[in-house]
Amino acid sequence: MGVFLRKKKVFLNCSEYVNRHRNGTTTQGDEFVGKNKRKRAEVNNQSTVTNGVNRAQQESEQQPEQQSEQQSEQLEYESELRQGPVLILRNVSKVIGRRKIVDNVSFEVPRGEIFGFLGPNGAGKTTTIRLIVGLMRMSEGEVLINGYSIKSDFAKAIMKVGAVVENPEMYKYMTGYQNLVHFARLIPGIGKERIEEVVKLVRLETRIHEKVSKYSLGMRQRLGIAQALLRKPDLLILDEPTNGLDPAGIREMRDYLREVAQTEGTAVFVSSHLLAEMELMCDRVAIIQQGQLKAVKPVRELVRMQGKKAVVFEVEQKEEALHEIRKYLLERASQGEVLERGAELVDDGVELVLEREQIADLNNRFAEAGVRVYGIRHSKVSLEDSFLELTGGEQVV
Amino acid sequence: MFNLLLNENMKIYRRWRTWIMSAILILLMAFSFVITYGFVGIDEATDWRAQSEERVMQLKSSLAEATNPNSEQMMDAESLKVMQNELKLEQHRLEKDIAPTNYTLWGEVLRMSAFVSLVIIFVVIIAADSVASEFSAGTIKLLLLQPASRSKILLAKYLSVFLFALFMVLLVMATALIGGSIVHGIGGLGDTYLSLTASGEFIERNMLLHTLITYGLQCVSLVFVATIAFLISTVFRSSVMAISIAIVIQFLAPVATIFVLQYDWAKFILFVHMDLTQYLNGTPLIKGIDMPFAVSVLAAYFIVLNGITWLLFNRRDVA
Repeated sequence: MGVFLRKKKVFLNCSEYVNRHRNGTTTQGDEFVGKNKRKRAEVNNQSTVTNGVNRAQQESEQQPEQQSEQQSEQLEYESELRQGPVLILRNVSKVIGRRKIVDNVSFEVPRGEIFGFLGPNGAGKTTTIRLIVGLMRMSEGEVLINGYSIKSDFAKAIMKVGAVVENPEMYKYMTGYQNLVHFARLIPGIGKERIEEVVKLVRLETRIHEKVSKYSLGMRQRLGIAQALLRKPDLLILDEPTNGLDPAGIREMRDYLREVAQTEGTAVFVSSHLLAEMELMCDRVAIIQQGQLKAVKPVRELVRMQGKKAVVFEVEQKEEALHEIRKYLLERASQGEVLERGAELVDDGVELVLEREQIADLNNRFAEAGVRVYGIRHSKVSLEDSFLELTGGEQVV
Repeated sequence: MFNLLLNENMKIYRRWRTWIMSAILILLMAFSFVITYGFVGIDEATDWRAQSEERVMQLKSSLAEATNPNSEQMMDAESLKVMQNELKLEQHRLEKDIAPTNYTLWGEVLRMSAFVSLVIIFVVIIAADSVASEFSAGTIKLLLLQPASRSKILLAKYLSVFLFALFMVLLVMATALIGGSIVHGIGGLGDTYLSLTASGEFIERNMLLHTLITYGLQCVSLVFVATIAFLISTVFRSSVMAISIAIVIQFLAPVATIFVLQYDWAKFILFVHMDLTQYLNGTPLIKGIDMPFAVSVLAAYFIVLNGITWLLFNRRDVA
């Protein structure tokens, strides 16, 4: 009976927290990208409620009765922490010798977001990850995970972080299962059921009892992710997770990460130098180069960064088309408008950058001049272009 | 902490090499028994009293000759003392009816304590690999991502090395006991050990206790060689280097000891004190050094070596 009452009390705390949390996400909304984000945030809230109750159950079974007051206070405090971003970096720097490997990097990752960390090789991606998880000591700045400092409160901060840093290295002379048992032992409250659950999630059921030395790179990658998921992390950090996976595996992983982010509200931090991958997977992307953060932007914004889109008119009479374009551009220029760049010949027509209305105008001109248009399409400005623009065209990959 | 220790043990005993090492140890010991008794059989051990009485006669006559001023044989005071002591011991032995250890069950176990130096090599391999292999395989990153503090992880590793050492030493004792009881039967289990110190006092104790003390004293150098291997393993993150340096130290220590004995500062050198039996028998390598001093030197080395390991492991950036 006592147990039941306590559960109820804790549940109230949780719902209070959910309300606050909901407010929190709506104010953050403009940083997100529209509708389905909000949906996700709601799903996120629900799952936190259930998590909270589960936790309350566990705790109430463990604790003697008179501690229930303190316990719910503690829970309230924790839930307050859980409102804010999972990961906060403030002015983080790492100096080795005279070189600044990571230079004054700051950003935040909220719950339920897939955050991409993009940069050419040697830009400081992995070093930043090592600083976040405390494998390296930072020279300056601080890292907060769930509000706990990785420097001064390591155990609490790291408790809810699952990570694979660089390659997913496991003990090769043990089986996949034994490896998971090894890591599960170090986190309180993780039993055999959870191990079996994560094994199923990463689809290693059939080979989990084989020695890791017999695994392919892709299987090791999955085992690494299974290891990271064991502790039901609030923050999942994956360093180049698609390395060694075949296209099907990459897709599977992408779907899987989405699922974790949406249903469990886990923040996912993914580093990569593969731009296309990031474009498909992430909500926001941070671009790092030579240890400095160049930009943190929603992926869509990054893709759309040039505002106007490049348009291709499919024509066969290219010379006439160019003539019309020139006339049109001159007219525009006389009205004080300057277009970003002129027209270019492409394989099947001409390409130029136009605003929406201008596309229709120019199409009319072509029709009047008797230039036959077989198609109008946007030529895609990819993340790669934005990336090259931001990093000043440094070689990627 | 207990789980950390379980993990470290899993890493040691889930590997083939651990069991291969145990098998090598048992096989070599069995081989040593076969060499000793397989072809010759035992007949010397039948009547120790007769042998002992004979020896007493021998000693008496040579002592009489040596103390006779007319004799041509001259003997220095030291050898005289040794002979007198032996005579005293043999007489005491006959009086109290305590058999000598040579050809008894416990005698075998004592003889086999020599295999502890092989155990040291195996323990060095495990100790050297404990930290270094985590670095070379890259698993250290995942290990340090656990909520356990680095100090606890290191402590678990250190303890697991000594649990392994304990396992190996017990394996030596058990094998020796089994081999010994096959050769001599188990009649001698309750035997008593008798010896005489340099200062002329009799030591009489239970053989089991005496065996444990003998093995324990052997383990002093085991602890230090393993600690050094552990340190090098942590500093250089290379198990090959740690193994080779530790084994070189293990074999060069006696030579180095002889070399440094001529200097004043020799009493502060670790190797000089690693064999503690010298203080028990009252025959220290350096005159005037006693057990408490030796133990303090050893303790100081123990703290410094482990302190360095701990400091480095805790402060290091893992790349």
